[in-house]
Amino acid sequence: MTTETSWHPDLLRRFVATPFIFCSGEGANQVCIQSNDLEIALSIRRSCIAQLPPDSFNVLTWKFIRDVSASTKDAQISTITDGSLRTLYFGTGTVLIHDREKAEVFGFISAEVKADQLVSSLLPELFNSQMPD
Amino acid sequence: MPSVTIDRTVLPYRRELCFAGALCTLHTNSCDLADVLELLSIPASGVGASRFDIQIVVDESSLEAAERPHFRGLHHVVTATFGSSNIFVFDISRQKLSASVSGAVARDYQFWKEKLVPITLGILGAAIGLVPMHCACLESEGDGLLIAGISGAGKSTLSVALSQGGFNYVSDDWTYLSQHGGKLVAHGTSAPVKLLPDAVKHFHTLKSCNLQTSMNGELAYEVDIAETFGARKEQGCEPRWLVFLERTSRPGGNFSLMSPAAARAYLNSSVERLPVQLSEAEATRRKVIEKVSQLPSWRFSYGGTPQFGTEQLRDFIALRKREVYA
Repeated sequence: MTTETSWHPDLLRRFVATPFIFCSGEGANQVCIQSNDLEIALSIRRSCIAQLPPDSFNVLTWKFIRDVSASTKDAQISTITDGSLRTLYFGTGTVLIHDREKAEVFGFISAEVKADQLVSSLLPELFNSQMPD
Repeated sequence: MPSVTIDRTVLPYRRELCFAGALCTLHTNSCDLADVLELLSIPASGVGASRFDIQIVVDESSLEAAERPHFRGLHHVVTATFGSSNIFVFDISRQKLSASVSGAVARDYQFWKEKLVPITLGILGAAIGLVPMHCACLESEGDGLLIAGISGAGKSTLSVALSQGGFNYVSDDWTYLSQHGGKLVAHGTSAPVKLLPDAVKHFHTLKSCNLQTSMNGELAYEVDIAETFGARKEQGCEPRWLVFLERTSRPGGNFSLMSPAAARAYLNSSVERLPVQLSEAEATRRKVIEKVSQLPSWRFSYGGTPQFGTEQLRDFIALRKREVYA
């Protein structure tokens, strides 16, 4: 089914276009970074080159949506870890998800969170205290 | 930083539950929450049922009530927050809900009944073979009538009127469909009936109820149909007919036969898009939609009160039954 034939609005913002795409490597080791925000995509690419996360996490897919309709009021970091899925919330509007088994990191970044903060603070917190297998 | 690691082996309370025909294993550290969810559980129907897991850690030190919800989804994960202490992570591909909630929310029966259980079935449904479809369902003598229609077409209003006119109520807005042994089964949930403010014209009982802001921001009556209208509820049934509801300003009623292709196209357009990561769930859903579209289907246009629509539908279904059993 296509977008055109569904009358439901994309309330979960699952289908926001992510035109900024960087891919490197080949085959099963190809790393892809996608975002609707160029600054975020570039920052993630730089951080991948600098090996964040550590190699042992082997993240292959990165997808981040800049979510201007959400806010980070009363921002407090919370994490929930269940099996290979770890979710980090920063306020209501920023949510980051790391699926170790699927080698994916994805999420939504509220307007108040800068790309630098994502890379230097929130992503390390997401990876922090997860013990690779 | 609040940090919760969910390890089911250390969550002491375990319950085997059933919601809308799907089996659910709950692990939690709260006896109160386990008891609340057990109250909402229905008897399991047995063979071939779908299955999912719920794992919830309750923070008894937090008394934060459920606040305004915020939902997001990407890939195979949907997240929901109801305030900073009430966080839900739905892992659709692993058929699992992991959550951290406050002690206040853990004991909030209405929250689980009206919001979280129906939401969970809506999000995980397709992945566990319990496909959420945007239609009402009524039952009469074991036969199910599905009523599809766009939001605002009057499905809920007609469902209430039908439940006062001899039908048993299964659902008014979202119905969960599964297939067992080639047989289609429609299930309802514990979600309340949602009626827009003008429904009070047709149902005076609503005068004693309060309008509430529903999850989508609309002002509506959200009521338990059995408590408010004395309706009889059925947990599920086998659908026999499909009716696409259309309201007209001209008084009167009209039924016109719909082809399976037209029914399929309509049903496909009425379900939510799923991302490519959930292609298996999409395939399951396609099979269920195909099965539903093979039901005898009509477009039902009517103008008038819901009680008039009920009379029209009741006579029409009685005629169809006579045809089948003749």
